[in-house]
Amino acid sequence: MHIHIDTLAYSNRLRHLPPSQKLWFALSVLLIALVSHYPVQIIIFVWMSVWSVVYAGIPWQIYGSMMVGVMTFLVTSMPALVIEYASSISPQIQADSLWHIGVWDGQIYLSRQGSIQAIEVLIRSLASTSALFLIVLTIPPIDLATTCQKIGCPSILIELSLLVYRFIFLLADTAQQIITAQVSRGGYRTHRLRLNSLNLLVRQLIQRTAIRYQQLILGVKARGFQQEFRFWQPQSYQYSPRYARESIIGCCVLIIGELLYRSYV
Amino acid sequence: MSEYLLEFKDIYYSYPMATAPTLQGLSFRLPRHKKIALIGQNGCGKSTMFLIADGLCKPDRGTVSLDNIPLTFDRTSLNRWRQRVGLVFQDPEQQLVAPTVAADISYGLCNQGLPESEVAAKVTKTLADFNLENLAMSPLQHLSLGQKKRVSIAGVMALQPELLLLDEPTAYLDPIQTRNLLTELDSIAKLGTTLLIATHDLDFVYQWADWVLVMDEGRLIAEGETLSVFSQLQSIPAFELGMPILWQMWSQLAEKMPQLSAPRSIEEFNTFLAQYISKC
Repeated sequence: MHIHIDTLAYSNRLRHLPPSQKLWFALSVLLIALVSHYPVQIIIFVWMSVWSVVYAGIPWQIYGSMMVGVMTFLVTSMPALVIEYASSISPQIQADSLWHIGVWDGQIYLSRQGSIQAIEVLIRSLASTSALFLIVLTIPPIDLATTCQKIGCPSILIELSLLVYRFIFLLADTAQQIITAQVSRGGYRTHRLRLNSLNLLVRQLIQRTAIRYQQLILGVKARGFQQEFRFWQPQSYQYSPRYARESIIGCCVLIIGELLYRSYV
Repeated sequence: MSEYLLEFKDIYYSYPMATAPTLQGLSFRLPRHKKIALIGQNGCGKSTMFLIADGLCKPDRGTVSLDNIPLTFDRTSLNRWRQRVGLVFQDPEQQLVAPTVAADISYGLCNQGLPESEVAAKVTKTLADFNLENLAMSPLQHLSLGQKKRVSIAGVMALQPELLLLDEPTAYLDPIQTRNLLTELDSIAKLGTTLLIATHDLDFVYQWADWVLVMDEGRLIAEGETLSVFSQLQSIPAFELGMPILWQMWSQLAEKMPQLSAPRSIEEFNTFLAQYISKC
């Protein structure tokens, strides 16, 4: 099973940058996105997308589809913000209502305030997601783990996340192998067979996971496991003054822009 | 220093709920600095024997010793034992735990508690020895099976074990990957590491091994130098894996050229055949 995000994290054009440089930059931008207003957030979204698509060379189709995927979740939560129900019609509600429909003795209406809030949430989410995507798409998990270790994250969390990461791929491969075998034997021809095959797939995955677990125990013991997963790998990163300049100047511009917005609006 | 490195003495082992013991009085000795092959049918106990040889399973009875020192299965002696005996599993996924090639090779070294500079030097050397420098920072899930196999062997060899156990190392590999693997194993053997390979491939065993062990139903049925073992196997009816093709071809000519010992490679066979033809 091909997992794009992982492949891109290892092969993007910003791979040579020190992970700490990318991480601090993206986290700073994320912080600005969370506390600023929509004009700055729109600029953040565009700027982060330029970093991911133009500088890191992430194909825009993949970047776009990931963004659409995340936004789909967000959009499904929008009705809760926008649609309201009122049992009695007061002048405030009338002023707030963009459109309404009478239901029983009250009305369901589209709230002006709610719509503004929804648009603000949408823009803030776009900006924050674009900053997070820069981390996810340009920093491989092991680099992220090493950086977290340096800043004092508990080693148990790092070990667990690295092991989970390693075994996601084994699970995905195993699932893919079983599905391929089922498809080749006509397991998904009809709706009924499909359900049956899915049932078998889940059972097989549970069984094989248990076997994998036993094998892993033997595997790590054979390699002298000492109650801790520790790794080392060469650090061949090149600090880039050009990207550092752009990130510092960019963040300053965003902060000044936000201050100006707050003082004039 | 004894001539023999590893010794199994009357080993019995049963898996829980199994109807019969997997190993039933297995005894053998592995000569030092040799290329040794272990052959036997599926289910004869080869993999179990490997697990015991690496201290991963404790036998129900019998002793396993390295340089005449028996394994006691406490944590300290197991750690020391596994530094001297390296095990490469049939499925490389079973022993690859780190996210990248370099990190995985470093895993066993970090477990030994070596300082970072030493780990770095050994990882760099191992990457160069196994021609993995270009893949050092690649994630394991992006590698082919042959490359994963190479990484799993490199990870074990980074610890410089005296005895390297390989369970079916050529399983699932294509002929090119197999050839490359065998070249690597030959260079490991030249460094003085004793190699023990479990396999079904009799043609490979016949051409590669210096010493052969044959197992059947949890017991050893033959051991010794390669030619002598295959001579013994001819007369053992219980052995059903057949004989190597070269051996079978030579058996047609052996009577006519009794002064020559059986050829161990195609090249040697061709030379002998040419001699025979020129005589006729």
